[in-house]
Amino acid sequence: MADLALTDVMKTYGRGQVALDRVSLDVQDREFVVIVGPSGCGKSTTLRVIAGIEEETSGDIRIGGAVVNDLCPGARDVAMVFQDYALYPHMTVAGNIGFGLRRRGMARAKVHERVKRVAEVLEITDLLDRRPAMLSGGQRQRVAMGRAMVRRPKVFLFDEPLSNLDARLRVSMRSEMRRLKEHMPTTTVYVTHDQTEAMTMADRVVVMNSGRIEQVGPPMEIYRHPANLFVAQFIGSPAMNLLDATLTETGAEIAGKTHIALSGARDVGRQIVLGFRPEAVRPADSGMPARVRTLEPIGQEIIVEFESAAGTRISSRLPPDTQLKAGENVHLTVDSACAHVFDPRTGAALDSSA
Amino acid sequence: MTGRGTERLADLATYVIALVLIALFAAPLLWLVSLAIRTPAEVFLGAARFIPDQPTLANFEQILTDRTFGLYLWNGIKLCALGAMGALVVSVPAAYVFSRRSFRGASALMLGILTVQMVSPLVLLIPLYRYMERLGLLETHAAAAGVYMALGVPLSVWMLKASFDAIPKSLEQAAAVDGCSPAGTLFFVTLPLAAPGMASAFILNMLMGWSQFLVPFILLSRDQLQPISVAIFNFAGSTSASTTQLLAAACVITVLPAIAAFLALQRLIVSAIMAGAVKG
Ligand SMILES: Nc1ncnc2c1ncn2[C@@H]1O[C@H](COP(=O)(O)OP(=O)(O)OP(=O)(O)O)[C@@H](O)[C@H]1O
Ligand SMILES: [Mg+2]
Repeated sequence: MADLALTDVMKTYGRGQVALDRVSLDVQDREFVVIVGPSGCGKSTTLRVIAGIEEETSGDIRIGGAVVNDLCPGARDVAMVFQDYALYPHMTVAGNIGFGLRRRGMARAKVHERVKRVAEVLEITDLLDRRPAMLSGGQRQRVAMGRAMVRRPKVFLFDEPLSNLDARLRVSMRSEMRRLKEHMPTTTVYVTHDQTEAMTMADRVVVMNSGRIEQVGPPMEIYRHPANLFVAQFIGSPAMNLLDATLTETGAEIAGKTHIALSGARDVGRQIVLGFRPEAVRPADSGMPARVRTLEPIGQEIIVEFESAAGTRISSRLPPDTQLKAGENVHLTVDSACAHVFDPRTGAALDSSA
Repeated sequence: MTGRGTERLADLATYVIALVLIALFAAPLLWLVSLAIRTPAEVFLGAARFIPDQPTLANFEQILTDRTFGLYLWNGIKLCALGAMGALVVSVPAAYVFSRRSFRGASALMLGILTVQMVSPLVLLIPLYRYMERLGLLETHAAAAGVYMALGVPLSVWMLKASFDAIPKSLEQAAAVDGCSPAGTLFFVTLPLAAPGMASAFILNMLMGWSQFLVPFILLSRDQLQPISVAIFNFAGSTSASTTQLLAAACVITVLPAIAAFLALQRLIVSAIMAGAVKG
């Protein structure tokens, strides 16, 4: 049990390729932090630097308050589940799970006991004598988790452990991960590019983009108050609608003369980007003129894509009984309490009194 | 003609060519076996009778109970094994570094190592003889095995590099996180996984050493030091018609270990131990 802190961690590869750009992050003891971000943004690199597999170019890493920069991976007391599982193919499942304990000099009988207990929790007891080659993807994933859990390390590091499983298995492993979290609360950094995983498992979410941390916060806070345009677009599906607009005395005016009321004082005439989630927009008797492009019924709701007069796509989540036809002309109204205002140049969120 | 038909024809052609090749290589071997199981009387019949009327194993018996033949066989095995072992010991670290570290000139060096393979030992024999003479190593097994080893290194480095390359780096990283030192990782993870590759390289070196003739012929002239290949040559030089069948039997016995080694090698190459290391 320990907290984890990264301070201004930089990582550059070869000819000055920046993989991590001044990453600072504090993870509390027993906190479950999920890092999300597009491919190549530095998620894996962050984990590898924490584990000591990759050496940081500058900055400090602390585990339990102690700087671990100069410690080798084995001495940092972290456990990692790799993106490709990395099970030792020449060892049985029991051998794989017990390897770390044996290498740390634990007695054979005690290792056996610990391996058995972990196998029970993960329900892989009957697989203990098999080799990894004889396991399914889901089973391999459990073995990889078992290998990390059995060590009872200070910090767990997970690198997209569910990314190669099929959709159904992923859902069940997700709930299993949550169960594990209750069962063995441990400081955890979990990497994924699946935002559903992030939203459902995280105590706090870290959104990364090209080597930098864009925002850190509890899942709903990130969803409700994205700090900038990148986070606004990355979190949420369908993505947040973004329209160019100009601030007026009472709100914002979108091209096409539609007016949206916003509360608070503002810089009249300032160019902004107005953002609103699909659930904050719906057809009404008056408002922004738009045409229905596509309808996607997904059971409990319909995702409708509109096209505004200016040609901008606007998506909306509507109740399943909505009566709309493709090509139909409608007016849209936006729930102004859910509108976000961003600076078009810096991308930063402006609070509504800006 | 249908695509299937063309395929059939191509298959047929493959078989025909394979059969011709087999015949080409098998004929001398079969001829050898035929001679080896003849009585001295039937040897005189030559090719007229391929399958002898009175096949006998007496020639093998005589060869195998011969003290000096055993010694030559042992010399041959000893030289091969020492050479192959030495080549492996030298090649493993080299191949590991080539596989796991990137450094300036790595690929040039790899190619350089391979060009050594292209130099015929014939060219080197005279200087080698002189060096060994200076070093006082003529007439020693160490010298001959050393040369076998040197000849085996280039191919071994290439083979072993390929088998190290096939081991995912994440396995070594997992071992490091699990608490292994770099040496521990090599010992517990990398080398066991490279074992089939190392065994292949070892056997291949054994085979190359087994068929080695010129090096021991030049470096070893004392009878009791000679490996089987040189001994058979000397024996053939002194042979009379009445011992042809014995010579043939000796040759057959000499070829057998090579065939066994080759079969073992094939099994190793086919076995896919890496399956299941990573997801997929
Ligand atoms: N060994 C390396 N040499 C050079 N560049 C590297 C190396 N490893 C990673 N990079 C670069 O560093 C950046 C971050 O890589 P990283 O693996 O952390 O991405 P990621 O967020 O985990 O992506 P993914 O979701 O695809 O796994 C990428 O631009 C990548 O090209
Ligand atoms: Mg990654």
